[in-house]
Amino acid sequence: MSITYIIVDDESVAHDIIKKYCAMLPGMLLMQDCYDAIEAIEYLHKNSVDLIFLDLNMPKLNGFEFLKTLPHPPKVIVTTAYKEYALEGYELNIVDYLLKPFSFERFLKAVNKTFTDTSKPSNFPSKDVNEVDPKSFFLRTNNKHIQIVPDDVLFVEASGNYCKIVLKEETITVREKFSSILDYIPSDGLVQVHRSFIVARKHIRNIEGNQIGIGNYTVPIGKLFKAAIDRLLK
Amino acid sequence: MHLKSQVNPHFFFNTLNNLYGLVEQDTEKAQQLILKLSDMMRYSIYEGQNEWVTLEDEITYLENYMDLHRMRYHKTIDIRFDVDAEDRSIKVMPLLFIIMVENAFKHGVEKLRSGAFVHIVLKATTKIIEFDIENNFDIEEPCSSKGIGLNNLKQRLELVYHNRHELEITNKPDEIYTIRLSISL
Repeated sequence: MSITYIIVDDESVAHDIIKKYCAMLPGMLLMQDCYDAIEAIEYLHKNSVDLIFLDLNMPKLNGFEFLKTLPHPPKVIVTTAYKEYALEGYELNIVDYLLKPFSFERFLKAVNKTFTDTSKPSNFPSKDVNEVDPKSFFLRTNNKHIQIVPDDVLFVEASGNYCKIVLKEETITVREKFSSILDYIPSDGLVQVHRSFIVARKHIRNIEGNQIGIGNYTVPIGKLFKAAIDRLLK
Repeated sequence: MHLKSQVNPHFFFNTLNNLYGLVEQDTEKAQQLILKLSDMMRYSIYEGQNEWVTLEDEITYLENYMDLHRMRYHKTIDIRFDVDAEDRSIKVMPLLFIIMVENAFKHGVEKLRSGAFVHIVLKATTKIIEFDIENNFDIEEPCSSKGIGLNNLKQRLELVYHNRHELEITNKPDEIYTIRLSISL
């Protein structure tokens, strides 16, 4: 169970940063360091990968010209100091555009996006070589990164500057504000039922008065969110 | 004021990215480079406003710029900067040389996969300054920007060293680009 990637960048420290970040995540497998687009083309001629970290300003062939040469490009995360090419990047269907220098949190968001995006299933790595749930994502708690399958999420509870993510088997706490937690976890099938609670609709056991039974837990329904619940019941 | 040159912002962001990575691997080297970067920023922000600066300051500025470039690439690049100046306290126009050096990196070093070089010779007496820079480049690379920086430099030279300078640009067919600037003080 792994995600294979290459780095294409003419600056060596840029490689070190990405490698260090990837080492903090389970299952990320570096296949090759490429120091310009020509090296990457040579590598991809004989091999395939799930993901490319791509710089734009490189000798001979810039990042976008390189992308256009690939008949079936894998997922691409652009890493560059150039803010002005983002639009062109999205036209080429890149997953994310990271401006150097970027934090681990921002990087993580890009990686999560890469493998939770179901709009382009054809680009996703073939199932026979790995069993990654295409929708799984990473969350950081303390110094660990935990891979989470969206199916396991029962509900999310706000707790000051932190959020509790209650899963089927465990509860994890992440340092993220409730208001931005949906940037980090896929929102499909999630419903906000209270100022401080978001629940996964499919795990709701019962709804009684102003309470929801979910897994072995009971979650309150907020006044403002009654209407959303009523809509669920129709 | 608007004619005065500014170093390309991407240079700063790429340098910051390199420092971001280096801080952990080699703290001492990262600290040295942060000092160089600060010197460069201070110089281009403040000294660039002055009418005159010393040749010494200009030389340090170029050295910092090139040192920060040296750390960037995986490929090896050949950078030479020879200075022969009897008196480095002579006054010159600020940011006099940087555009030429920046061009050499932008069109040469950044575009070549290997074997890139930038050679600079600076000679100065109290009467004359001669600055020669040559770099190789990729002959197949389409020239994108049409020398805004160099035109800017030409205008500033016209204003400050009217009838006292010569700027000679040679684009040799053997993939070597040369600029010679001489100024009578």
